Parts: sequence; C-alpha cells; structure tokens
Amino acid sequence: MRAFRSEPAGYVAGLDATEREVLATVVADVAELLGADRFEATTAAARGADAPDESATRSLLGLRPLPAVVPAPVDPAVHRLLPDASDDDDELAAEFRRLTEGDLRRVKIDRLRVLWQALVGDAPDAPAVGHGAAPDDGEGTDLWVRREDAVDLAATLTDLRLVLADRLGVESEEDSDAIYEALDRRERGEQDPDRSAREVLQDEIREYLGSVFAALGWLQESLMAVLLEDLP
Amino acid sequence: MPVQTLPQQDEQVHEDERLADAWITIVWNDPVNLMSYVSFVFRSYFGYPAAKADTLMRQVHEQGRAVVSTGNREQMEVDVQAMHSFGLWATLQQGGA
Repeated sequence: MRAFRSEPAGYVAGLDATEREVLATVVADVAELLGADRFEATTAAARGADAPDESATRSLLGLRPLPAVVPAPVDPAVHRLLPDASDDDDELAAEFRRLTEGDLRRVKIDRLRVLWQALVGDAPDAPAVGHGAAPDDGEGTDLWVRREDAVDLAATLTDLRLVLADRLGVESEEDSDAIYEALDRRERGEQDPDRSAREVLQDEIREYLGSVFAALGWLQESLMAVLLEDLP
Repeated sequence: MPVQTLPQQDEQVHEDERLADAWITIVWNDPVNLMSYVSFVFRSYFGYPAAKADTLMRQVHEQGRAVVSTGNREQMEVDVQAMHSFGLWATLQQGGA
C-alpha cells in the first residue's frame, strides 16, 4: 500500500491486487449492511439496461414518500453510521431519523459504490466517477481520486473503519491501541504458543479485521495529510 | 391596542428570547475517527480557520464533546445530518451545552 500524494490530476495512492480485493469485499459488505444489493461488476450494456429500472423505482421528481416510522438500526455498526440526532430526546431522534435516514443511507451507499467500482476496475468512466486506475500504470495499482471527490472518499474510509471497529469491539482509545499491539505481537511471532485451535482461529479473524482497520487508518491519514495541505 | 411603550425594553426581551431559543450542534468523541479528519471536517464544512477547528477537535477528543455550531433548529438539523454523513456522531439540542 502506498500513501496518497498530490498530483496535478488529483490524489493518488497505491494498492496491490490483494489489497484491492480485500478492500472491495469490505466495501461491498458495508454497503450490504446499509441495505444495498450486493455490488457486482457490470458491463456497460447491463448498466444501460439497468438505468431505466432504477429511475422507475423513484417517484416523480425524485421524491419518495417518507415512511411513518423508521426504527433505529439494530446492528450497532449500522446504528453508528446512522446515529441518533439526540442523546436524550427520543421524539426528536425518531423524527430526525424518519426525515433523514433514507437520504443518509443513499449517500453512503453511493459513495461506497464509487470506491468499489474504482477498486474492481469497473468504473464506467474514471474521471466522471472520481476514482479509477491510472491509465499510465502498467500494473493497475494506482487509486486515483479527483480533488472534488476526495472528501467523499475520506468520509467513506471513515464509514468502513467505524464498521470494522464495531466488529472488533473498539469502544475506547485503549481498545484501538490493543489492535495495533496485537498486530505487532503477530509481526514479532510473540503469540501464546498454548492457544487452542479455536483461540488461534479467533485470533486470526481478529488479526485479519485488525490489519484491514489499521491499513484503512493509515490510508486515510495519508489522504488527510494531502487534503489538509490543499485547504485554503 | 396599547400605544407604543418602552420599545427598547421590548427589543431586549426579544434578544433574550432569541438566545434562549437557540439550538446547538454537538459533536461527540469516538475512539475511531482520526484527529486530522475531525479537524478537516470542521474546516471544510463549517469553514472554520485551522486554529478554531483544531481547538474544537481537541475539545471533542479530551472533553468528550464540543458545541460546533449554533443557530435555529433547521440550521442545526442540516449540520447534524452533514456530520452524520461525515461519520461523526452529532446531536442537536435547544439551549446551552
């Protein structure tokens, strides 16, 4: 993985094929958690055929009737992505959710789809959607983002990290630090040799999620460095 | 209908009512969001100068929360929704923090 850097055409980072695949899977998983259909690679023709169907599901003028009640998400990770707008006024939180949650879900899913398409090389038109593999990169490892789309990418990286953190049980700064310490122990081969097979499996799952969480944090931190530098 | 009485005092009352009616947006700390990202959101969305954004970010980080904007309820609803879009947990409430 290569940190983001600023180029005249936008910001560019580097991901190898495995990193792309892992990240694309996490992106699709989070989109599914938010209620999206599983992302699948499509041909240009299929996209064209899909377009009228999608617009047909929208009501006139793009307005959808608002539901009478939208219950708060049961999954704590989804609840974190679509949080309550009040910590003590249930009525306010419920009304806010009723009015805004649908839009918020769509915004987040749309951003995830843009990143997913860039990762699997399915961007219909790289400049138009913001991300895309570099045309001049023989290995196709570059991840480009246009300046105007970089904020969306940063927000999406945040959403991905929030979901992974929930699955890793991160509730405090110490929990977050513990993930990095576990990764260090694995790096140094200092895991407990007397673990049961079940514990080894549990540790491996945690280390896998933890390594994705850490990599996304590192990637986002590098994006923030170039973004902050470009702020007026 | 009463004739005009003590208009200046009336204005003062209205001013106080406006302040009492003010809504605020609060951003809460979480152990996941990067400090650089939180600062960036405060600078790019609210247009705050770097120093103010960093102060608010540190307040969130160290005190658990910070009031990031003040206005009428509709404005605060827009801000809270924007913060949620950015992945920050924000709430709105009427009156002081």
